[in-house]
Amino acid sequence: MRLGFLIAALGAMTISVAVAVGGAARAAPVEVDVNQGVVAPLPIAVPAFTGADPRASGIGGDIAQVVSGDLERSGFFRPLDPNGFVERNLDINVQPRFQDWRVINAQALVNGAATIEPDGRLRVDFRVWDVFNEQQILGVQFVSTPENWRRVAHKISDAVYQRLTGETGYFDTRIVFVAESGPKTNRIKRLAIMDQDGANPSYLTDGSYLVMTPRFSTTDQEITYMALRADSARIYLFNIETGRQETLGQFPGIVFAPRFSPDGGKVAFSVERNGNTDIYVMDLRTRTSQRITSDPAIDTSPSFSPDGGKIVFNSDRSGTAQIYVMNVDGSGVRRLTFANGRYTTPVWAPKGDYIAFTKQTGGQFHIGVMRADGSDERILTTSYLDEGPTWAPNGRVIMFSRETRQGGSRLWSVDVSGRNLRPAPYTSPASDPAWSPLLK
Amino acid sequence: MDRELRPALIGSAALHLSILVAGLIAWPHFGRPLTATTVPVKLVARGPTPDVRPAAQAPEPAEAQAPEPVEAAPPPEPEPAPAPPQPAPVPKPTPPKPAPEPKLDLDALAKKVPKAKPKPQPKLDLDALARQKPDPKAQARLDLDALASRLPRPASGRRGETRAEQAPQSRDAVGAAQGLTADEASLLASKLNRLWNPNCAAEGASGVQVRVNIRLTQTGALAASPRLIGGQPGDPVWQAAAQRALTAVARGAPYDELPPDRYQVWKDINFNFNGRQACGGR
Repeated sequence: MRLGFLIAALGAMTISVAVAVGGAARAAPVEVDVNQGVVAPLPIAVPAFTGADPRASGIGGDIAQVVSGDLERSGFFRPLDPNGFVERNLDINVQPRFQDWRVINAQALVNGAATIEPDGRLRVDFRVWDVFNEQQILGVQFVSTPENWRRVAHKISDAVYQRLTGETGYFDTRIVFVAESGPKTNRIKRLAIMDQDGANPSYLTDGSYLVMTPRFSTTDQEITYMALRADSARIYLFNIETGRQETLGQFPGIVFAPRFSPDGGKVAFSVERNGNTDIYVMDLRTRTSQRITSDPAIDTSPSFSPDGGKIVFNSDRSGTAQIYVMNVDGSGVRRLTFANGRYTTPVWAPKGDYIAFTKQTGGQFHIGVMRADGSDERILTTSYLDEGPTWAPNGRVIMFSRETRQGGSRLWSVDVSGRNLRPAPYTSPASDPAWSPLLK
Repeated sequence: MDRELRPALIGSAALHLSILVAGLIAWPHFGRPLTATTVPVKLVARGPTPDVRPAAQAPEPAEAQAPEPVEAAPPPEPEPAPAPPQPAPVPKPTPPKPAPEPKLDLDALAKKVPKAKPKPQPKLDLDALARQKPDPKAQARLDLDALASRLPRPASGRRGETRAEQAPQSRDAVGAAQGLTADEASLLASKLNRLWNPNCAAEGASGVQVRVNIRLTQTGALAASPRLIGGQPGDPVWQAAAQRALTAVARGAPYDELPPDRYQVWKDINFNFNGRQACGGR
């Protein structure tokens, strides 16, 4: 695994000692600088959450497994094998025997309990302990329905992740994607959705027409996507909670590559007409559209900046597909990429700091990121066919689809640093993932 | 996406979609119904754990081996609070608080212990040590001006932020007679370098500085819990970094690699964890 244990031997080790001199009542502390470290996944113990009855303890065990899986996949944690645990039968209200956890080198311990309340609700309490300093560093309680235990587990993962990395979590989220089946010559592409850990996959369309480029709203549980039928190519809105869907109207030509604005009030998309492809923005309240590019080249894959003021897109106006940025009204177009190769599907990161893209060069495809001003390009992946990046809501992880020469497409993910490249937990053929915002 | 949108593909799709019958309105909805139920979140507690009973088998404090005056006070144990398990839940999650640790007040304890630290003692001891161990290298590097410029500063031990800002420039004189020798400092730094797992991936981690103070018994055991000095307790990234620094320092105990006869020198140490250096380029 690329993540592995990356020994950080960076920079020269400088040790400085400050000396306190003088007649103070107590000598001042001596100073020691620590300028290196060993970057490795944090060893963490997540024993099964306890429960007062078989049902509760069953849920407690399941929750611990989901939390453990979430933390492990993030690449920042190394959950320890429960078989090695020394202390058993933990009690949420009794301080753990820390030496038992130090002995297996757990640096953090997640200790929880599941309870079915008299009113039927599920209550989950958990604490995170600093094993070496013997202190609680987090204590939270969630209440929900027992059926919702997986979401409770993901929320616990988010809380642990945030406490120990300082960044917002991304585990209580879903992925919408295109589920593929059938032979390549007669591919069925259905809109599908799953939890970010691959659980609860379900189809949203029946496969009687092709579905492409699903995109999540950043504000709520709404999707926009393109449906390709025998006689039309249209874009739709689909509210996941209500099941309601509607077309965004009829356009002369082929409409594709829709994407929401950050406030959910607009959708940008491309329209191909008479051999020319331009970008439009539709106001969802008034349903009026405005064309914002007019170049004779192909302008497509629009993606809004998080502040809604700019749109990044790709265009072949220079002769090959490159990435450009413009104001949301189409003014101030500026080219961001100049290197060899084709740059497509730019996606602005949720924090606004990076733009992810697909790059094709030398017969291979890559997922890459660059700063929002086009600088500091970094290639994160290389394969026969990688494409279609989507950001986790915390801007830390990118999911994309990878197709091998031998066969179908699968979902993969990679950390924005390029580490922790791995297949997504959903292992059936799939492409074009889109990450939801954190669920509410 | 461009790939998918080639005219050839669209044509191919059109062929295969000839069986299309579904209308827009009668959109079939497969799979289990999707529900998005809100999960109410209640905060139980953060920081210290007044609602937790001590472990059945209380860990034996390592300090028990050789107590020094400061340790005469009861060991810093969590308060036994056999109160009902359910703490009053706070209705809404609040942003993480700095969670100040009302731990053992060493200063106060030190005052209570008579003659624990006669004023002139450190100076006398150190001078004597300096004479006993003439270190030509260290003395050659002794920068009196630099030392003098530090005179008024460290006594209070309350200048975390200032120190952090000035640290790289002002602490480059190694091995002065009264402080740690270069070997001692190297032992400590390399130990902590091995035990510290910096949070480089988090945004901003490269700029994070964490300062941890420890006080040691004569055996090198921790006389009290490591203590954070300064920092940005309101910043979650700093909080996470501080947690990792505290873990590294606790894992490093006991600090028994230091010569006992120099206890007066190393009994009080500040570790400065420099994320920018450690995470450079990551």
